[in-house]
Amino acid sequence: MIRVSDRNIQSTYLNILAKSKSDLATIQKQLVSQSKINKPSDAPLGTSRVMRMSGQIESFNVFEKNIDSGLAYIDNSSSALEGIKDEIQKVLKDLTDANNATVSDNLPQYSDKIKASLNSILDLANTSFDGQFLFGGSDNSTTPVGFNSTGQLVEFKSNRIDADHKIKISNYTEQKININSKEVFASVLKNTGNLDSTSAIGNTQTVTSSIYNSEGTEYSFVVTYTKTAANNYTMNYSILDPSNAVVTSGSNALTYNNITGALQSIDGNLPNDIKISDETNKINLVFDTQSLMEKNSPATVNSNLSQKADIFNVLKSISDTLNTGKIPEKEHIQLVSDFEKHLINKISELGSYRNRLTDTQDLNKSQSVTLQELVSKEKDVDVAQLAIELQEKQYSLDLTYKISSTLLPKSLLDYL
Amino acid sequence: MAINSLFDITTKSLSVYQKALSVTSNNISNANNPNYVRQRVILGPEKPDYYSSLTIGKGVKLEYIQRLKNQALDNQIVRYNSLQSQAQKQSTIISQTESLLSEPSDLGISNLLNGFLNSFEELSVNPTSVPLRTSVVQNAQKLSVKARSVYEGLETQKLDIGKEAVDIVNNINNYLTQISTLNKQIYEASILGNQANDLLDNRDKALEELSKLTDVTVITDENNVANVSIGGVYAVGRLNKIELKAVQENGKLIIKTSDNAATISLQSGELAAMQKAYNVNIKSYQKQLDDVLRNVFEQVNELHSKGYTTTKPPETNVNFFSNYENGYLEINKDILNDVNKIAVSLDGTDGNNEIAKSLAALKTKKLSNGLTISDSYSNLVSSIAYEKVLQDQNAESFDLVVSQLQEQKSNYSGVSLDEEMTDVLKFQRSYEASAKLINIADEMLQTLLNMV
Repeated sequence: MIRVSDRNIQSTYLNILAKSKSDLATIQKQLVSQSKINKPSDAPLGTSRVMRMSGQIESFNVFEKNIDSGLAYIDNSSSALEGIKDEIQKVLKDLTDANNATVSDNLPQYSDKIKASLNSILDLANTSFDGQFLFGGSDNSTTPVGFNSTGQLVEFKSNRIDADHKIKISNYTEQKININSKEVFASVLKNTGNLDSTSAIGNTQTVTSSIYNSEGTEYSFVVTYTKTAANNYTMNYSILDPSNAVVTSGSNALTYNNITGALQSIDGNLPNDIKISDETNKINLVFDTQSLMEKNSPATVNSNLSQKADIFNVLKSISDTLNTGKIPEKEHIQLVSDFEKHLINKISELGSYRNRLTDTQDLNKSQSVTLQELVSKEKDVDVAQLAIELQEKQYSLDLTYKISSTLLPKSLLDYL
Repeated sequence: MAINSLFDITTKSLSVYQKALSVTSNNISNANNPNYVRQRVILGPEKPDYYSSLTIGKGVKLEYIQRLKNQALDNQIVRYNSLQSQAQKQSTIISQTESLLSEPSDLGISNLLNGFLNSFEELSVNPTSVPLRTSVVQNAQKLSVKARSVYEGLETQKLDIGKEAVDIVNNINNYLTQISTLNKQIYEASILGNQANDLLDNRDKALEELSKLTDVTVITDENNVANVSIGGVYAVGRLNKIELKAVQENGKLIIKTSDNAATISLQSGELAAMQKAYNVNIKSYQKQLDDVLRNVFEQVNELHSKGYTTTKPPETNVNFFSNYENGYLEINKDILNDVNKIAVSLDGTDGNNEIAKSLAALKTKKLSNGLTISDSYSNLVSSIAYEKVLQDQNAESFDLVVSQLQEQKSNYSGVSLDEEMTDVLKFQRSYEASAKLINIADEMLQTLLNMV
């Protein structure tokens, strides 16, 4: 038979009491904080999960904000392009009216109308939203387009009219949200393909392409790539008028990356488009050689012209022609119609960007809700269950007090 | 046999039961004294008288007062007390470390780091936006302040442990002095053939308290002198005693003898827990936090310095953090003065957001150790949490062992009032019977006298 001392009864009672109180305190703390995890040691694995999932939820919140900003950006861009489309349709109507004008003296009035449309289109092309030029690429400090110093030719002013504005909309997805001036407005001659990295120094590669001035007149663009050292070339270009006279020319030094073969620099600077303007011949061309690579294979250089002329100078020259009392040529007017089609394509492209954003937004929301549910499972308390447990523990504690009050002081002494 | 012998027997008997009653009452008085070991009177017969073939008893005598103690149990208690105290102390220290982190909450480094990198994600939507740039700086400041407070909190914790260790070592020295004095007194009593039960109780209490503080081994010799060693180094016996000191050398907490003759390696007790926390745990947590913050410093600066600012003209080679040292991510003062110095453009145009996106992508970028910055920090939090859980479990399990041992000790050495009251009645009745015998002897003597 085990001998039981009085001190033993007391310490056993105190141990049970302490355990009951500790359990009660834990439940009370969870109920008050509404959280099962108040410190990492409450659930080490749960804490890691909660921290990781909270980080992901926070990322989804940021993606949500990014998508909202992106949608606003796209909506503003769409509005501006729709505005330009309206102006272009107005111009086409005016040109039809001008073509039917009975008295040539009225033509300068049409010239003024078209000039007004041009100014509206210029304003819309220079629209800014939240401090950013919608069509300015990545250059927010310079107005994208404007007249040159003589006021006779519209030029692209931005440093990077070709830049895409991409934002992150989910963990692994980036989405372009802008249409830049190069895509929508400019006449871009693009060289693609490759130069031969194994060719000897002094070797040349010449490509001739057709370009057009703002009246639709065809010119020749001749570019020659001459290898000057390993991965280095001199690029000489010249524009020849229909009589093969050189109207403008230029030269640039190209350096290619010896590993990737991508263009590394133009004249020592980061690769960029080369803007070529000739006021006399009404030429405003963007020459893009950034996609031309250097490879260990025979040289193949292809040329592609995005649109014959930029809409601003086309409208300017149409207005000038009307002002002189002449009706523009059909080819000249066709340039405006071509631009309208191009513009509609770009507007629908923006629509597809918008759809991608909203689709991703829905997906993000559903993933975020799932994560929140998981965090809740890890962290949040079941109030009803805890309330019952609390009641049980409280009852057990009361019982311990009650029993102790009757049993603790008892000994033979009480009966003597 | 003379009638007088009846008087002798009853007088002795009265005296024995009086003493027995006083031992019992001493037990009753100490019923609630946790350090008291119950005592029991051992009665024996007096040497009898021999008359030819007859042996006539001469009454009762008090052989000795037995101290009901189980030495093996005591040694176990000392050992598990030491382990329990170590686990408990370690748990307390880690609990303080854990509270520094403020995890999992919005105020923890994890959330603030995500907030900082997310602010670059937001800036990527509109890189020229001054409010978004200001938000980057504010989030960086929040991260910097919290990281610094955690790192310095760990440093302060080490300093506090160092100070507390000095107090604990002073306590240990006090207990060693107390045990040395008690050893001498117990030895002197033992040599004189006396049992120094109360002194033994006091020394047991001192040993039990000492075992909570440090790693103690006790060997008791034939004269009840306790020879105590701490961490394998002789600490106190009957003749000699050492003193300990706690010193902080080369970033370590070291326990030495006061004459520097020996360095003590502790395995259990509060002091061992403090030594481990100071020399191993906190150092390791600081190192892990340092690695996380250094990665933030290096990775952010590496990308940021490649970017261009939105100042006129744009600048490059600008670091976001000007310095990192001891948990302090110092934000470039130029950026604090002008948020346009935040460099998130890759090509120098102010609307380019490539660097901002790369900085935001640091959230998921795996570094050379195969982990993201957040993963590394999460590992730190987990290691602290698991250590706390482990020490809590250890403390609870050792506590259970100590409780059971204490229960056994209490069952063996503790006072039962029922038993004692039974003894009181028993000894009282024996005393009364002895007193009655005196009356009878008196009556017999009176009868004889009347016959004369």
